[in-house]
Amino acid sequence: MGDQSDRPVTRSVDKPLKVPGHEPQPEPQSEPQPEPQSEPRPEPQSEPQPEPQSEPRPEPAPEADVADVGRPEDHPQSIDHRVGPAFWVSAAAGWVVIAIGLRGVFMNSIDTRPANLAKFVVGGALLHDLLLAPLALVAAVLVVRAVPGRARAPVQAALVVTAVLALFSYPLVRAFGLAANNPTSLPHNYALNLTIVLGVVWAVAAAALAFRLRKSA
Amino acid sequence: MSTRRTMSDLLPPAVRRLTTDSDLPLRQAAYQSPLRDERLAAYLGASLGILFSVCFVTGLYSHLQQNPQAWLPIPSRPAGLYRLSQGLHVAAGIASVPVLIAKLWLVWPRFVASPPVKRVSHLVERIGLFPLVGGGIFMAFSGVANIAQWYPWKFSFTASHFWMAWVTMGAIVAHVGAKWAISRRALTRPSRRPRLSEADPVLGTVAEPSFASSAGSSAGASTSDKAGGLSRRGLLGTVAAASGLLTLTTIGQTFRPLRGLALLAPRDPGVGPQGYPVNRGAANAGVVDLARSTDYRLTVGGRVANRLTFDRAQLLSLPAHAATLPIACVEGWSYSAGWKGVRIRDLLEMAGADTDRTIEIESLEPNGIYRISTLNPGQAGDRDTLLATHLDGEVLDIDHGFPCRLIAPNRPGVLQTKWVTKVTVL
Repeated sequence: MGDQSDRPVTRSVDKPLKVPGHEPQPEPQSEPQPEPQSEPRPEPQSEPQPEPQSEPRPEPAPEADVADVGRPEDHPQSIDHRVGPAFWVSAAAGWVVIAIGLRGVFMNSIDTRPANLAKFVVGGALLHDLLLAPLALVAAVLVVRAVPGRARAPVQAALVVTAVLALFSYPLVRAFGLAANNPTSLPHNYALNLTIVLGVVWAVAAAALAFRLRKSA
Repeated sequence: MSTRRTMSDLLPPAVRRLTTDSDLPLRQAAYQSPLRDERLAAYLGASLGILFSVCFVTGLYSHLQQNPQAWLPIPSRPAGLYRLSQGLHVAAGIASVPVLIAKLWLVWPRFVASPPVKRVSHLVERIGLFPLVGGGIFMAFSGVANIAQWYPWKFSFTASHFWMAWVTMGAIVAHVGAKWAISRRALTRPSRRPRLSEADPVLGTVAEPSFASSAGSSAGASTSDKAGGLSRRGLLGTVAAASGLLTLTTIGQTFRPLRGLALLAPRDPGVGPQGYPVNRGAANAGVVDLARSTDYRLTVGGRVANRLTFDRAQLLSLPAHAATLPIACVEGWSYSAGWKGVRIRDLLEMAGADTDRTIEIESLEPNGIYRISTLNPGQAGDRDTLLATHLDGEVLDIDHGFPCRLIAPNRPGVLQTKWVTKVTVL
């Protein structure tokens, strides 16, 4: 099973010997703009057509860009498929522990409600992999497009922190817990508090940006 | 190789660009962010592994507290152990949220691998990702929802969170084994290897413009720095900042000095009856009338030489002992307070019970899973294990368990039974 699929890997392993030289090679047409802000996208995944850089390789075999091009010969991925006994031992041990957990879920089904539980476990993974992650990718592309190079890092950092804090605070802001009728639970105005914390985050980001601009000026 | 070529040929170019080869680095096809880096993935993975392990160990301890095993009796000391352990459990869980999100983002291109499976070991590894990703997300989500007292599900939180922890931990063990070699390599390799983008003109066009200038630049600046986006170090710093900020804005619910910063904590350890929070008030428990009734009695029975019964006045006349003890909720908040009341061991002595017995403490609550808790002989005999009638010198508020509540060292809050009416020697 492994044979044919491994081949591209070993192939590419010899190739990258050109790496050490790392001359920009046949690429110079894209080079003329060395100033940072003109290169538009570290992550052009939103529109799959590879835009300007597609010219340099007009007709290469479809997977040429991934399989046949070079990468550092000692790149960790290149030995990905050579799994040793450690892989199988930890897989076996891990699955024993997983089995303990699954057994516990089913042996205590009155409490764990396996069908309902599965909805949350599978649903959470699918929600992330099929919806949130792609949305984050699109958002990242938009940010790269919209924010000029020098401002980008502070904006990206602030956006990441904002997203995480908002996700964490969602049940607090929505105050679902008040349904439990316990006056000591959720004692704060969480919408206000979240706004305050995010205000601090963006103030720090703005300060970092100002610092960057001053330094480069 | 030919099979692969055929397969990819069948895919429209757009799709081909969006799928990835699982034998190649994370950064490939359409996923060209310089942040998709093995070393960064290894750092995040290791951090996540450590945080989840802390949660698992402290979670096991909490489970053992709530499901006592005769062969492993919980000691009554150190008094603050449960407070520390559960505080860590919730804090580590909260801190893991940004790390989990970053790690999932980083490795997401692996999700769209084409072909989906390459060999037996790859199949085994990918099957293990179901419990890993599903379990990891579930543990974080259910924990965060639970401390906010949000229950959008029908299952029991404690049982499901506990058993899914085993599933998740097992998946982590398998995953660590699968990624051990690659992570070690990524973490030990010199940090300034030429990036794939720099080495290869075709794949690397995206970052190329910056390459020429970065080649001569100072060692610390990375390619993406030049481009203006977050550097890898910057992303790591951002994740650490997010974790730190979440910790800083929640830890005050158990770490009193930071109480003023606890803007996003679900509890304030200074808000509640008599200045302390509760998890289940008297009205919710349906005990208001029973607790205030003149018919209230405390009885000491079971295997005793003389059965004892006290009304409230008699209860107050018993020899009282004062102790400063923490109450630590499973949900991660806690406070320490001064309690006063009769010692359990004095009650047992009065009743003429053996000292090696397990004791059952029963509440007035008509129902609820926590209406009865047990004390092992060590816990029952501790000098500070009390039926407290006073809190900080005042008569106990009804929401704190009036007429009397159990308070014992090193014990989860849910087992500090309130509105106690019956002590049974088993």
